[in-house]
Amino acid sequence: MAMIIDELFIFGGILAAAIGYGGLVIIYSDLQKWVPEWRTFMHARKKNLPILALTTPGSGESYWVLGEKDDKGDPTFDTKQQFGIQVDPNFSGQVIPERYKGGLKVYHFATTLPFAIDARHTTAIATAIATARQNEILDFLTDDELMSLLNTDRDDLDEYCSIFIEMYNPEYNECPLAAAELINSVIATQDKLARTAIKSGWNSYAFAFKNIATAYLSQDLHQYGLLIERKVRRNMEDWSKKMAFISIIGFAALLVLIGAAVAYTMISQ
Amino acid sequence: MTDDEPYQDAEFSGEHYNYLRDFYTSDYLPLLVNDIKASHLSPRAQRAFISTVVGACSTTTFLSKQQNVQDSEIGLELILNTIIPACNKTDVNLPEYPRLLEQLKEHMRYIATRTIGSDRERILNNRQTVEHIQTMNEKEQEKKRKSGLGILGMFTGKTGDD
Repeated sequence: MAMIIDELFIFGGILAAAIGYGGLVIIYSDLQKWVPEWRTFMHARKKNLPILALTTPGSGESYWVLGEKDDKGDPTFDTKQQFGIQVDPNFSGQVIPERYKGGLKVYHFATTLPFAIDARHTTAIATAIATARQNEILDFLTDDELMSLLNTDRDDLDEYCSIFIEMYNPEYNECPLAAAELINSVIATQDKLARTAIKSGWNSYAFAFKNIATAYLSQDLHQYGLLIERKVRRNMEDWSKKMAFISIIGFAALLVLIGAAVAYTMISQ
Repeated sequence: MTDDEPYQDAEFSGEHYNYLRDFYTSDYLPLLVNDIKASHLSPRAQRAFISTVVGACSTTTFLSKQQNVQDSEIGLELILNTIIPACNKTDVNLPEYPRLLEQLKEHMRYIATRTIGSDRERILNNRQTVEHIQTMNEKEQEKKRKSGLGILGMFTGKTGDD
């Protein structure tokens, strides 16, 4: 049975489809432009994976990366090595993730550090610096240097404080600061920090990452892995070369044996 | 031997031993160690650097047999990577830090070239030295043999000691 469709309907249908597609394109481009992480969040909720918030210590900008793994039991996340190696907090220690609706977990990493931290750590670092800054003798030190000194073993303080005194020749109360005074101030601050409770207040991941004293970067850990891989690969190459050489010798010996057997058979007949 | 008097400075009575000492050690090691000690690195970082440097320039390293320079370099890179956890941010921001690392890398590259090959340079040289000394001894004994009891020398004026 033939159907008669009015041209108007056809044009109307095409127009509606075009508007629909246009709308979809606009929504999609808006999503891509303004919510570029939508796929990350979608996959994280779908596959029950954590999201890694990677903060740049300098600028404070963060990136959202899906916390995927090559194998289920891997201790590190596979972030395509874009920011070195990030260790799964389940292996590295007690880090409390931020939890969002739908079971979404967010771990905070720096773009330069292999281990995650949480809000307790950020406030602890802020508290440590604020408490240490109450000691005016330590004013000539930068935050990095202050944290380095506070992280120094007491056996080494004598030598390390002398290095800072030699470098800066600081003054306190218009008198040259002696190394012994600096050592005593650092020890007193270390003792005070051991007794100080973590204060509540503002917290900043960028500030915390910037002031963590370690110099070992996630990129260094990545490089270490690459070097081990290179070493193993080279050993494998050597082994395969040896095996190839042995195979050739073995094959040549086999040919000689077969040749000799054939020759013997021919002669014996 | 104390810290201030490393074995590189030890003087032996025989020239041959001094030669061997120079051959199996690095004259650059004490300078590098002094550089590290004079740097503004933290004591922990200094210790890590010194132990790496001493290990990298040890007689064991000189006498080791490596397949190729690249393998040695990978090994060195791995050791240098493990220095970093002993450093803090202040250390790595010092201008001395990259300089010391590069000095060590460059020096190790030269040492590595002496540890490769089947007939290695150090063994070859050592053998030549031993052979040379043996030849000299043999020549000397031959001279003494030729000189006999020295009776002829009393008349000719030539003795085996010449």
